[in-house]
Amino acid sequence: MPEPLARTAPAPALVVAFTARDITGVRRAVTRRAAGAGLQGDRLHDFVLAVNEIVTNAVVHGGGRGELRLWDNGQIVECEVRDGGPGGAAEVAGDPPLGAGGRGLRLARLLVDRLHVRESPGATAVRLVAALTGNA
Amino acid sequence: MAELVSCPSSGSVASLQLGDHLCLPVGSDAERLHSTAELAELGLRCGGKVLVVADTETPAAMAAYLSARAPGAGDALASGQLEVRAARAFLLAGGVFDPERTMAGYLAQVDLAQEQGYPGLWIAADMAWSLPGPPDPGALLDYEAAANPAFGGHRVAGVCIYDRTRFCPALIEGACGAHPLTPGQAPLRFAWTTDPLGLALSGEVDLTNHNALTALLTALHRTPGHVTIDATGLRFADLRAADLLWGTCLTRGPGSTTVAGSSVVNRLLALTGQGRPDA
Repeated sequence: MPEPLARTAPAPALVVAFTARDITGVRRAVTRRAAGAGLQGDRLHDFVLAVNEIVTNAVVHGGGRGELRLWDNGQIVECEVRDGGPGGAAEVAGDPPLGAGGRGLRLARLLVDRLHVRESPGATAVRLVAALTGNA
Repeated sequence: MAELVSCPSSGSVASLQLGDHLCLPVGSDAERLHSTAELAELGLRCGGKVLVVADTETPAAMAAYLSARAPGAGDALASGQLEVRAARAFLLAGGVFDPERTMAGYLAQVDLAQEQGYPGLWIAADMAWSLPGPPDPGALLDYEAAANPAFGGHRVAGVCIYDRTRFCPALIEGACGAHPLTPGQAPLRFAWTTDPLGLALSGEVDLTNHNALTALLTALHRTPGHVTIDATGLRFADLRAADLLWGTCLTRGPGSTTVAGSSVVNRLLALTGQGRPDA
């Protein structure tokens, strides 16, 4: 399983601040960057869908805005989504009913090779990692 | 060095087709007028009838502007192919916003254009007619969302122009979410189908147009018989979109709905553990 980049990783290839109306544009920017890094096929779509769900959570549950950063190092693509709300990007725990929301994080875990949630007072950061090996 | 992103435009007046319902936030009167003329020119070029719903300007002033800016507009005004109406007289009978009556007014114009032999009606609406706004702003957003099914017959294209300097940001955001098309946001196109009976979807669905998809699928709840949701044209759908499709199947009852998904939709349904919602 690929490890997230160290905190001393080089400057990100992509930095985007977002609100609700930016979700589509953020997704396209992530798609371009991840594809440019070499992620392909279903693995590219899965990574983009996972990031989209976490960004959506940040908007809906995390104060309406957030910031996304993306890195790649030739072996992995890594994305971090930060929001300004408690548990927003990480979403609520438990097993909510159909249509109630709250399943985005669970879906994202299925779509990427590694997902890490870091919560601090007033903010949540979710890191998603996809390896560039094993492309479909 | 990080790439700083500005969101690309994915919907515009220039790309409008019959069946499209576009929300267009603008930042000035000049931008609004330019977009209105662009819509008029496009509709006339397609051989359609064009209806401009004016509010900030009088119909006479708008007609003069269009005559000067949109090729063929002068002749079209004379022939009736282009019509400019005062929004409040047309849409607010008795001075009160009644969504059903407003909708009926538009639908009558769509029918009239068809009876007159036009291949479609192209509408540009200055949404300032809704100001200072209904007591419940949600009523305007509900009206916008509820209008979406009327576009599925591809007899009408419409652009609803909201001035950012006159509407609050929350209402603009809500209006964008009620439309399937907004510049820079996920584009959703759709059509009612007869063989098989149902709804065809194409484009993308995300948080920015969930409410538009909800309105379309809600219309299917009342459709009797077996229906097919052809989602093979969806390039992207998020978890909420999958929930909406799944919820439609559940509401309609077992065996009464088929969802034909694109590879990404089928994969999403499989990953979310729902399998085939129509199974």
